[in-house]
This record gives sequence, C-alpha cells and structure tokens, in this order.
Amino acid sequence: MSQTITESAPAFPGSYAAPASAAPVTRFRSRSGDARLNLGHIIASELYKAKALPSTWWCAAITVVLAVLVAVSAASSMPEAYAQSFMSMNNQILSMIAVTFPGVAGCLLASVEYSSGAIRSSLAAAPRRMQWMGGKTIAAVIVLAGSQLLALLANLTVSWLILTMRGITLSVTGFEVAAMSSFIAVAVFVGLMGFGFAILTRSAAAAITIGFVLILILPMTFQILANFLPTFNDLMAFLPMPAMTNMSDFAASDPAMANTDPDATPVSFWWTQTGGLVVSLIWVALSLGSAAVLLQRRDA
Amino acid sequence: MIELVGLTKTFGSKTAVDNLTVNIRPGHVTGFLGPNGAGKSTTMRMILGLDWPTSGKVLIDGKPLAQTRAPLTVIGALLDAKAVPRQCSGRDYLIGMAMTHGLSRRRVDQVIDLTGLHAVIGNRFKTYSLGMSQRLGIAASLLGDPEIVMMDEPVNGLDPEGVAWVRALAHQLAAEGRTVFLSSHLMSEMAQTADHLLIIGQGRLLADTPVDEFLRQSSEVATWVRSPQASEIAAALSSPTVRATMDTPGEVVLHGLDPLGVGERLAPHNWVITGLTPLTVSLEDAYLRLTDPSVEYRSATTWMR
Repeated sequence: MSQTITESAPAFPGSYAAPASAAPVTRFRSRSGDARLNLGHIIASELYKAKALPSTWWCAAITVVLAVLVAVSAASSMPEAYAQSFMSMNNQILSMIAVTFPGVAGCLLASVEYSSGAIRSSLAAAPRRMQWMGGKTIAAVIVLAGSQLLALLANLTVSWLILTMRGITLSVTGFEVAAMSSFIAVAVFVGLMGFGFAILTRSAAAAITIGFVLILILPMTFQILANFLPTFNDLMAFLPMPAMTNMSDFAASDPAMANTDPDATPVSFWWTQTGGLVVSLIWVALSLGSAAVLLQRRDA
Repeated sequence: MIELVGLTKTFGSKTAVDNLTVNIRPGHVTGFLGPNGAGKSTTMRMILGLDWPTSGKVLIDGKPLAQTRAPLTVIGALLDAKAVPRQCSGRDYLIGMAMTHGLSRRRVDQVIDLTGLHAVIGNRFKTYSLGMSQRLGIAASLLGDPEIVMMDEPVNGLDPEGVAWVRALAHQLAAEGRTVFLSSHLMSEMAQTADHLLIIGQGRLLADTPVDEFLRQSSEVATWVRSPQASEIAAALSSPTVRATMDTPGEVVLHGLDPLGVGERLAPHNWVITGLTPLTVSLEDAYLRLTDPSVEYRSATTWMR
C-alpha cells in the first residue's frame, strides 16, 4: 500500500459530526504507543477482574468464616487435658476445608469467562491463548493462596485468643505448622484442578461435579470396593484427596514416629509425602494440560 | 488493513464461510452485509482469532493478530455487547481490559466520556439496557485507540440519537485514516454509514464494491406515471427498449425511461398526467435482489395477508 503514514489529529474527546470524505491521505497510527500485551499485564488484569467478581469474595469469605468456626468450636470445646493435640485436631478439619471450597473458587474464576461470554473479549485483547491462560492461572494461584493464607491466619488467631482466655497455652510443633502451611498448597492444587476442569468443560456446574466426584465420591467408592478387592487400597493413593492428605502428612516424616520394626511392610512410595506431592502435581498437570490443549484448539 | 485470504470455515458438513478473499482498507467505512446465517459473525470471529479458519488466513497489517505487540491498539472490536460478566460494573470491565495492555485509567475515562456512560458506568452490568451495553462495547472497542475498528451490529438497540452518533463516529474514525468495518442488517442505516460494501451470501462473496457503484450497477431507469389514460400510455410507449407494467389501475411504471423521456414521448398526446415520479433503486432493493438466491432462513408471510 502506498499511503503516507503520519500521525493524524487527536480524536478524543471530540465531535463526530463531520461526514467522511474520500479516502484520507494519512493512515492512522494508534496513539497508545506505549501499550504492550505481556504476561505481567495479563496477571494484573486477571487479578483486577477476580477482585471485581462477587463470587471471588464469597468463596474467600466462606473459607475464612469456616476456618474461624473450626477455631471457635475446637478451641472452646477442647478439654484442657488434651490441649497438646489441639493443633492436630484443628488441622484435620482445616484440611477438609482446603480440599473443597478452593475447588469451587477455582471453577468460578474460569467459568465466569464462559457463562458471560467474556472469553471472546478476553481472547480478543490477548489473542495468544497460552499466554492468556498462563496469566489467568498465575492470578488464580495468587487468589487461592491468598484466601487460604487469610483463613489459616484467622484460624490461628482465633484459636490462640480463645485458648488464652481459657488459660491454655497453644502448643504448636514444627510439623503442625508445616502441615498447616501445606494446606495453602493443597488449596492451590484443588483450585487449579477446578480451574482446569472449568476451562475444559466451559461450565461451572460440570466442573464442580467432576471435582466433587474426584475429591469426595471416588475415595468413598474405592474404600467400599477395597473390602472386596484389596487392590483398591493401593489405587486409592492415586486419587487427589488421599494424595493431598499424604502430601500434608508431616507427622509421618517425624523420625520419632518412624516404624522401627524390621519386619514391618515398607510403606509404598505413593503413600509417602513425596508420593502424595507427585500424584497431586500430576492431577493438576492433567487438568491444566488438557484444558490448555482444548483452549488452544477449539473455537472460543 | 484487514486481508482475508481464501478464508474458509466449515462446521461439520456446513460451510459457513467459503473461500473469502477480500481486503478491508483504511480510510473507509466498510459495511458487511448478508442475510442471517451468511457467515458475517463467523468471519468477524476469525478476524479476531476467536474461531480458527478451516483453511485460508487472516492478516492484520500483514501479519496474524496474535503476532502483534499490542492487539488492542491494532484492532478494537464489538462482537457481542452482552458478553460481559453480569456482576461486574462497566468501569471494572473496561479497566480489566485496559490493564491487559497497561493502558491508563485516564484512557478508560476518555472512552467513558466519549460514549456518554458516566451516569451508569459504576452500576453492575446486569442493570444495563441493550443500548447501554452497546455503548459499553463501543467504549471497549476504542480503548486501545485502534487502527481498525470492527463492530457487529453496532446500532442494535440504540435510540435514534445513538444511531446518529454511531454513524458520525464511524465517519470520523474513517476520516482519521482508520479501517472501520461494520456489519448490519439495517440496509437503510448502512446506506448512510458505509462508503464501501462487502456482501456475502451462504459464506460466499457476492459483492465488494463502493456503495455508489453498487447502487449505480443495481439501478435501472424507470418512471412511475399516474393518469386516467394509463392503459393507453402503456400501449403507446411500450417498445423493445421500454417495458410497461401496471400493478394498480390508473398507474403505470415505464422501465427504461426517465421522466424527461416520458415527457417527450407524451407531448404529442393530449393525455392528463396526475403523477410523474422517477424510480430509484434503494440499497435495500439492490441488496435484496442480490442476496435473494442465498437467503437461508425465509419467513412465512402468508399469515399476514
């Protein structure tokens, strides 16, 4: 094309009353010259969009409120004689919260794009789909980890306050703190699985159903089946929820808890913390990977 | 400039877009016309990279959109005005989009000013009317101050003031040297807005022409005459080059003659003429005539009779 390329007059704000004449001699160049599409901008944008969605706040609020309720009920009902095992009991319930609500939050963070049709404007603004998904995934990790951290801090603070009021000293071991911290990773993993399922199915309902079946229904089914076929006991290690429980089982790595019986059956790798972490990562990779492949291939 | 090269899209056995090769040039308002199901929206989605072509390619200024450094500054689009999360506000939607490119809040305020949405921009999107949604979509399409503005049915749901505003906006954007590409079902609107037309039917290109040229090629000379002697006029003026049709008693349409020609031929006769009007073909007529064979979804009209 042989048109002269020059800057044209500023357009905004202005009047649009003038009718078009013949083809102009100048070709327009955007004045947003410093604008760039990059991963950092996409993450910032996705964080802003997540912040603007009421569902993000609802999921975070439910996670925090449940963690506080756990603290209130455990700390106020715990007999003084069992104060040493407070954190262990507290953690058991917190782990249940970590594998449920973050999953729903992850689903909603992704499914809102499809339920509203906003995926089209998102991908029009960021047409490199893998870059967009990467940015959105990182934003989801920040939201999920942030709300879980907040829930854990609220749980610890309320527990400490109630126990102190009762004249009980909150006793926390290093393993218990590590286990509690690992719930952040569990929440992120479960949330990312839900996030991936939502992109995969383009539906919050379908994604939550898949998550519900994988996290809650399958372990129960395997437990029942294990009564008839013991192999299911071994297979259970490969389900997300048992894997994430293994991953958070810091007490098992305590040398004091080690089984010293030389005749004891060695624990399978898949039931160890590392095995649990590997299985959990595989589930996250499967969910996000299949979502990425479909996102890249299909029409938006 | 948008270049479509052999662009084809099939959904199963159905071909939505069939080997479309056109250039959409800067400095023009290009109207994109076609009956329902002609492939307009599919073509626009492929231009944005939302749908993958089965074959062929789309180039924006010589390269695929995904390879551009700042896509929002290259092409701004309004495809579906209602495709915004219902719970978020119009301002949040615009800011979220602007942040993908590091655009400032000032720029967001500018497009809000431009579209006149100040009063409602903080409200949740679910409270927006269709007209307000259209304005928000137009604001979003202009965020990056883009070189190409593409809008699917931009006047849909707008009041007459809004329609006039979109028309003037399109003219101004084209006058600045931008590529303006609009689809519409409103032929009368397109006649006032576009200066170039792309017409497709069943996914195939039917016309790629300036509006004036399209009208000139599609038009025929004809004159409507009302007279008590309409039958005599029809008989007297009919010839191999002039065809007379009489659908209403007392009225005759003389195809192939302009009013001057009719006057000259009727001068020797002592007939009473009570009406004489040149007939011009409207864009609507020309468009309907062109696309009639490719109309896929035709309404049943017998119940209206």
